[in-house]
Amino acid sequence: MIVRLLHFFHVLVEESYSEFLKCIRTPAFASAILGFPVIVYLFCGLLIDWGEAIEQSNQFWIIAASSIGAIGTGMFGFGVYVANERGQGWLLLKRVSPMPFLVYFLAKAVMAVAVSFLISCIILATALVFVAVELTFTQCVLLVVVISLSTIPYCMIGLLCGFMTSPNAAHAIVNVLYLPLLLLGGVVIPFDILPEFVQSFAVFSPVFHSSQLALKLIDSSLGYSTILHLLTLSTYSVVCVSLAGFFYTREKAKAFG
Amino acid sequence: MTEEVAVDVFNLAKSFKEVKALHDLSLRVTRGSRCVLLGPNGAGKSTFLNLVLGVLKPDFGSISVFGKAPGHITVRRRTGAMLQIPGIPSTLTVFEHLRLFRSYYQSPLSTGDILSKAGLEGLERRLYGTLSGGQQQRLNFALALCGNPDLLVLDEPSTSHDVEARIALWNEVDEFAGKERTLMLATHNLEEAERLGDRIAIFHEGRIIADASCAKLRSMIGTTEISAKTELNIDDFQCEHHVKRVEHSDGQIRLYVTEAESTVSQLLRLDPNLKNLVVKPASLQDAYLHLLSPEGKN
Repeated sequence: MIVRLLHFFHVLVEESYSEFLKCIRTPAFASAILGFPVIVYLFCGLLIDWGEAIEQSNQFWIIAASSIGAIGTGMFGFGVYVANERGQGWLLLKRVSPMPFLVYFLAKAVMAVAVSFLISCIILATALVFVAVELTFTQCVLLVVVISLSTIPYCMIGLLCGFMTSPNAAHAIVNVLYLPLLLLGGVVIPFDILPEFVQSFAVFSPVFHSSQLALKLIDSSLGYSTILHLLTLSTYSVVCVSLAGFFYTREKAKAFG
Repeated sequence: MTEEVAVDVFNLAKSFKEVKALHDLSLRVTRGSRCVLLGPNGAGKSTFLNLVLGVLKPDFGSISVFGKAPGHITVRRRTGAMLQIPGIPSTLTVFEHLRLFRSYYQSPLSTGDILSKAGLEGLERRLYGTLSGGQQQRLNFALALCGNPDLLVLDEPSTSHDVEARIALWNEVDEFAGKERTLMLATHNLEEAERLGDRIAIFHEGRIIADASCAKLRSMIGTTEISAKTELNIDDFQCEHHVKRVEHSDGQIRLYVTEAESTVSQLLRLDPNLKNLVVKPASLQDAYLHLLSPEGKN
């Protein structure tokens, strides 16, 4: 049992390391996934003076840009990558090898969380260098941890997008979902300035719940309970993984691997 | 099920919607043998290999690999697969790919061994995306070797290879398979089939229409091909028991026979003026084309 566990972790470490190398050597990944949230922060957080339009605008944009990073990493960096590898046959080769199948997804999730962590750190460091951000060390650490872990539900949403249709369509579906999620979840536009009818269904969005968790750290949340946010995000994750599993099993039964 | 049998397939059927990819297919591959699945594109070879690898599930029939269900973890540990278009990530080096695949096995071959057996020495630091087509296929082959497999499953391994690379790959497969390992190889390349297989199963429209050694397949149409330009009528040879098949076109007669010497004597006796006499061993191609022809299928 111990030997099997050690082997499992050894494969997980190797798989995660390979994922890391693949990511940093892919220019599209570095520019789109890493670059975009940092640019959003530089532009919206540093260059624009929001005055009283957004409360604690410096902290808000740190959270907003980091959340954009987490969402993009999960949906594009995880979901679209899995879909691509499925379409190109790499996933098939992994399936016929003795690699524990769970490791394939775990490693990609580890990588997505790590990239999200990196994005949050870059944004936080930029904020600390250029503006006097009023965040304690503990707040900074918690912020990075919460944002990084909030990547996981988006990985699962991305996974569902990658498996619910043909691999080539995954990128298009994620693109279609990505912007509305950002706009409606209170990340790019603060929740309290969204129109009322938008607010009424924005509360069901996973982005709303993950951003509220982060906003709690700077006392800017709407006051819903942490349990509610965690439960909602967990439900999204479980439902998406289950549906992805269903589509994958259905595909295996009817088509070439 | 004894360990002597590596792959045992009985009465297998697989369909994709209305298309019957395989039907009534049975095949037993003993350990240490080299079974080549030969057939035109769409004959069902890759589907069959995917079933053996556990990637697909059969609609009907049974498959066992080393006595277990395909895809069982103990089977995957003992199997190395080289699939068509594996979509290997281009941003990892040869060494990094091997390091990753070696980690899947508890007793993998050493990296040096794999590099040498797959002919990749000196290319360790090259990114996959910068390798030539032939080198990329070699890495694909190298990944199949990582676990020092007992069963090697290769799906059209030399596609897109130039002549030299193809021959080099055949040598490497031949050397690795040796006498101990079982090889299952799908191809539509007759030379590859003849070079690597000691048994050839010819697939056509989802069925195995012939399953024998290369020599035996050739003997089905006669072991020797004799051709000559002659005025003789083909009816003169049709009823000879050692003449398996006769073709005639533009004054050229082609006989597939089991007794070459007596046929040549007979030809010269019947037509002393015959020209362009050529005697050569019948090829696998002749047998293959015959088996796929309407006459052969009957």
